[in-house]
Amino acid sequence: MMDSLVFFIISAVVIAGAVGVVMAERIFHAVLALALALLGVAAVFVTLGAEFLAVIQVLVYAGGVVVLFLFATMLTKSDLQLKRPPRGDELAPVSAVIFAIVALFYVASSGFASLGERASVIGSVGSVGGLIFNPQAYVIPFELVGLLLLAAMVGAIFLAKKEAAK
Amino acid sequence: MLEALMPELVIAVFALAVIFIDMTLREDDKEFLGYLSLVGVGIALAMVFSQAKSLLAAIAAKQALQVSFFSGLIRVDLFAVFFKLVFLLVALLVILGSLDATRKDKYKGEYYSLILFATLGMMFAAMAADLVLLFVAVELASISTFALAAFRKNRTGTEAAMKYFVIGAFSSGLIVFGMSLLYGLTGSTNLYAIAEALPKTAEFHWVLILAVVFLIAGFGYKVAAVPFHMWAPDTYQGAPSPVSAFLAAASKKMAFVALLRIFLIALSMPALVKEWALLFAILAAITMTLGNVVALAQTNIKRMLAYSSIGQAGYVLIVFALLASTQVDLNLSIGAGLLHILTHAIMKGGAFLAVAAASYYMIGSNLEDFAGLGRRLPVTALTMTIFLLSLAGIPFFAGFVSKFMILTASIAAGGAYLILGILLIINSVVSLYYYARVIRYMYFAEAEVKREREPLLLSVALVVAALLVIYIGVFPDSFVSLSLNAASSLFS
Repeated sequence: MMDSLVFFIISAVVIAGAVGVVMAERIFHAVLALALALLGVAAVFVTLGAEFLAVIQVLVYAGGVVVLFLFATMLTKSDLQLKRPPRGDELAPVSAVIFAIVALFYVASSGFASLGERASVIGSVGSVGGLIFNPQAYVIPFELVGLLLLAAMVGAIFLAKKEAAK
Repeated sequence: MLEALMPELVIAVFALAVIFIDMTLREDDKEFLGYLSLVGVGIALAMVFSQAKSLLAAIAAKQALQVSFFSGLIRVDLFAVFFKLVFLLVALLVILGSLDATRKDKYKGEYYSLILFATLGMMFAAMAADLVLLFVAVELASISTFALAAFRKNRTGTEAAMKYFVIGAFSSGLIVFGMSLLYGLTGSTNLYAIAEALPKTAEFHWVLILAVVFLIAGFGYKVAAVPFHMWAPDTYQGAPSPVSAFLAAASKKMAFVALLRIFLIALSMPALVKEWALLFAILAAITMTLGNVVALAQTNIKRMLAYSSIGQAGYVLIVFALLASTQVDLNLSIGAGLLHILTHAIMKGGAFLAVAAASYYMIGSNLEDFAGLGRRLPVTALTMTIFLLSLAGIPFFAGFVSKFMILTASIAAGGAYLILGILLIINSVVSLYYYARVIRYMYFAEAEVKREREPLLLSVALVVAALLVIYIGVFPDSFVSLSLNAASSLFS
């Protein structure tokens, strides 16, 4: 009972944040609303016992991505007003909402709820570390992610480099 | 155990070596990096070739094979080795061609290291028997190619890369969503474990369909199936031609290997096969028809090749539709798809490299620019003709063999599947028109041109690809049996 009450409160915050991102008239407000939604998701992870994911969510998304967004907004024209979409474009949000309801219905009617108990076993820092660094588990994808980040860095630096004057 | 991963290790080491040596070289000496990458890919290709040989010998001797490593994360079966051969062969040709095609460009170190990283990702995708590894490998290949598409930082190139990046990131999101639903249903990320667990979760049928739809849409973007194809013509046209060759011939094939593994292994529950085979049948029909019909109207050769590439992807999608049929041998239809993936990689890669050879002399990629190419660049024009005829499916070229095999499979399946076979024939006839138009411009159009010295390494790449196309077309037996064996190794 208590659990589901907490869950509903957090979910309401997340949804409010997500709606705020779409409805905000200024980019700055949209980014702040996004931070709210992302922190709310971190809270959901905590209630499910996935502490490691929650920490990463706060570090990477709320800490890193949102701050980057804020910098980008403030370095560019931050007083930029977002225009309302032209009329007739309501199809996109309506179909998104319908899709979300249908998807939720099917996911809710499946046995996903039982995952909550399993998550508390597999979501801790220790068990995640054990999985990532165990040669019998996910050490190869982990090493590959290292190369992926290197490739992404090489690509990003090369794209951001200014062409020398000819 | 690590022995089986040696080719990947070689590619990874060479990719890192290229980055580090790049820092020590002067701008004029950076061509060395291209040769270094060429050596790396050559060594890896030789290793994978010997893997293929030993696997084939083991299959012939009916020996039990130990092919799974890292507790089932990686599977080095003939299927994976077949795709690794395709990826490495394409990488070899592309690097060989790039040595000439990017001679005047800067950032060679970044270029070659990203090609090697992308190849590495594709090789791991070919071997992945686990959703986590599969996704990481696909991302490694995708992210490397995003930057490659923007290699020339001009307007069209940047637009091409931007579209490719946005669509690529979106489709990756769809794929992860689908994968997460599969994990939620079965509690496992291993494809073979999912296959075992799924029949026990029959009551979650609708979530399963949702996962299937997400996976088809996500990978549909990556293989550029209609209606997920809009990025492909812009990207292939705007990217430098060797990169377009790499995207069409290797990157796209990686999406097919992922689709084959996920759908044939993890989602092979008979009740489910019926559902997704129908989706694939519809996709195949509209993809091949729209790709070929729109290609008719193109006046830019790279754009035309992109639409033809969409059409050819439609031919491979037929194979997925055939899997629901009980009339046709599973190995025959999968083998047909594999062979077409191999032949299409060589001929489409070759065709884009021929465009790269033309642009070496500042010849544009519009149809009129190719007027008189037969006298101006005879080797390029001749090999381009071979690739185009093969793409159209003329007998004694590789494209004919693989198309014929797909057709055989769809006739064997009979019934409604015949419609797909008939569409394949109609589309081949339609495609002949726009391929022949390029040949007509190259040889029969009036133009004031003089013979030029063709870039040597690019010509070598073109000739090797053209000889392979003819060899497969004239002596198809060993390649057909290779692809059939590769198909059957998927299940053993």
